[in-house]
Amino acid sequence: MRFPDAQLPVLIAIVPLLAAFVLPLIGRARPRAAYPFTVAVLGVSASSALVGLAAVAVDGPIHYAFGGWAPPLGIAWRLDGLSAFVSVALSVSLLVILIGVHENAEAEFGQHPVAFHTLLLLLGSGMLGLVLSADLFNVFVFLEVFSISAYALIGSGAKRGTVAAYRYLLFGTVGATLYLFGVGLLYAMTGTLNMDDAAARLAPLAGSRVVLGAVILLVTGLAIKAAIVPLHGWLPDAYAYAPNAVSAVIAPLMTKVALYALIRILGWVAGMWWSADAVVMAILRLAAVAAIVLGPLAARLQTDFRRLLAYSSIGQIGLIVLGISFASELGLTGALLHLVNDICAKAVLFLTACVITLRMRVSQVSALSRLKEPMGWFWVMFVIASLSMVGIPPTLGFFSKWYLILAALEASRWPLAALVVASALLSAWYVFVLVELLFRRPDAPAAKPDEVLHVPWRMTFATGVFAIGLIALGLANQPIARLIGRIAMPPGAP
Amino acid sequence: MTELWAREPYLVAWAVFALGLALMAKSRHLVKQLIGLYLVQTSVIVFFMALAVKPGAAAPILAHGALHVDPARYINPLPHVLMLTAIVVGVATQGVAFMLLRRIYQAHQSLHETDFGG
Repeated sequence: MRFPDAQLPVLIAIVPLLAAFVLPLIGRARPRAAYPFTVAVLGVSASSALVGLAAVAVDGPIHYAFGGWAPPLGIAWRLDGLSAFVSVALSVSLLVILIGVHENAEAEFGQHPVAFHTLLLLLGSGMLGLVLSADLFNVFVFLEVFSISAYALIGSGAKRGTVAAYRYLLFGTVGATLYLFGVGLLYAMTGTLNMDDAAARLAPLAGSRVVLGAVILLVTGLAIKAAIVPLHGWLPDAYAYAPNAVSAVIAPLMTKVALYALIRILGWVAGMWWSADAVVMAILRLAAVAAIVLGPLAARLQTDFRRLLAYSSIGQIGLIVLGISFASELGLTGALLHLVNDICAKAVLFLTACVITLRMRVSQVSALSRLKEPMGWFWVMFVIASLSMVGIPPTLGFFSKWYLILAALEASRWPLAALVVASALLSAWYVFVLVELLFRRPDAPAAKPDEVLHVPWRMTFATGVFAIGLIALGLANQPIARLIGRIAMPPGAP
Repeated sequence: MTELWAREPYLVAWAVFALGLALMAKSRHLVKQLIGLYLVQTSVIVFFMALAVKPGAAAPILAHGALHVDPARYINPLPHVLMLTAIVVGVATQGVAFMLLRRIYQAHQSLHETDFGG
C-alpha cells in the first residue's frame, strides 16, 4: 500500500475538480452518462479518502507540495487526522446522497443532467479542497468554489429559489470578504499564508490586538458561511426553496465545511485551542447557546418540512459550535461526532423530503401522515434518523451529546451540560411531531392511487446507509473517539 | 507606530467596505445591493494593494540575470497575485448574481424587494 499514499490528498479533491471540466465535454455527446460518470468520480474520491484515513491512522499525516515547491513558498496540502476524518465524512456522504437523489434530480433537472452533475462535482471538489488545504488563501478560493456552485444550484429552482439564492450570494460573499480581510491582516503580521508557518510566527505575537482582530474577522466570515446564530439569516430560505435534489446535498454538508475551517483556524493557526477563556471562544459559546435555544423553537413553528429541518440545522450547528468553544479534547471529539451525526441524520430527513415531493408534490409537514404502507423499509430509516436527532441510544446522536456533556462538566460549566440535555428535549418536541404524523392513520383521507408511495430503491439504499451508519458509529463511538483523540487534536495540548 | 489597521490606506479600505455594506443593508433594489456587494469586494482589493506598497519602490521586474535583489527597492508582488485570483472569484460571483437577477426579473417583472415579499 505504499504507492499512492503521497498522492492521496490530490486524488480526493482534484479528481472531482478535473472531472467537472471533463463532464461537459462528455455530456455533449452523451448526456445520460453524466450520472454514472459522477458516481464513478465521487467513488474514486470517497475510496481515496477512506484509504487516506487508514494511512493517516497508521503512518501519520501526509503532506503534499504543489509543483514541487516546498512550503512555505509553495502551496501545501495536508491530510492529517482532522482532514482525513472530515474528508471521509464528506466524500462518502456526497456519493451516497448523489445516488439517493437520482430520481429527484431527473425530475428537477431532467433537461440539464450535465449542468446539475457538473455543479455537483465543483461543489464536492470545493468542499474537499478546503478540507485538505493547508494554505489560508487557498481556503478562500475553495470556499468560493463551493459557495458559487451552491448559489447556482439553489438558484436553479423555482421562483422563490432564485431570490433565496440571491440573498445567500449577498450574505456569503460578504462572509468570504471578511475572511479575506482576516487573511490579509494575518499576512501583514506574519508574511506568510501557510498555516503551519503562520502558527509558528503568531506564537510570539500572543496578545496582539491586530492578531485578535484578524482572528475575529476570519471567524465572523466563516460564521456567516456556517450559519452560526445570529448570522444564519440566509439559511432557511436557501434550504426550503432550493430544488429538492439540491437541498438534500447542500443541507447536510455545506455548513459543516465552514465549521471544519473554523476548527482548523482556531486550533492550527490562531493557536487558540486549549484556552476556553479566549475572547473568541467566549463569543462562540454565547452564539452557540442562542442557536441551541432558538433553533428548535423556530423549528417547531414551521409548517414547511424543509424549513423545519433548516431551523433544526441551525440548532444542531449550535451544538457543534458549543463543542468547539470548550477548546478541549472532549469538546472537539463531541463536536466532530455531532458533525457526523448531523450529516447522517439530516441526509435521511432531507431525502425524506425528496420522497414526499417526488410523489405528492407538496412540502408540508402534514404530508408525512399520508405516507402509507408501501413505503417498505423506509420508515425505519426515518425513525432511526429522528432518534439520532433527539439523541437516544444507541444512535450516534446520543453519544455525540454525551461527549459534549462530558466536555462541559470537565470545564466545570454545568449550566451548559444542562443546556445540552435540554437541547435533546427541545429537539424531541419537534422531531416526535414528525414521527407521530408518520404513524397517524385513521383520520387522514385514503391515499389516491397515484400518491401510493413507491420509494425508489436508490432512496432506500441511501437512507439505509446513513441509518446503519448512525447506529454503527454510535456503537463504535469509543474507538472513534480514541482515534480522534490520537490523530485529530490541534498541536500544543497541555 | 499606529496600529496596523489605523493607517490611512487601510482606513480607505474600511470606508469603502462600510459604504458597500450600508448600501446593501439600506437599499431595497436588488441591483443596488449588488453594487454594494461590488464595493465590499473592491475594499479588500484596496486593502491588499495597500499592504504591498513600499515607499519609493518599483514594480518587481528584474533585469535578465539579476542576482542581487534588494527587497526594499521592489514592492511585494504576492498581494497583487492574490488579488488577481480574488478578482476572478469576484467576477464569477457577479456573473452568477446577474444570472440570478435575470431569472428573478423573468419571474417577477421587477427587481424591487417589495414586489416579491422580500
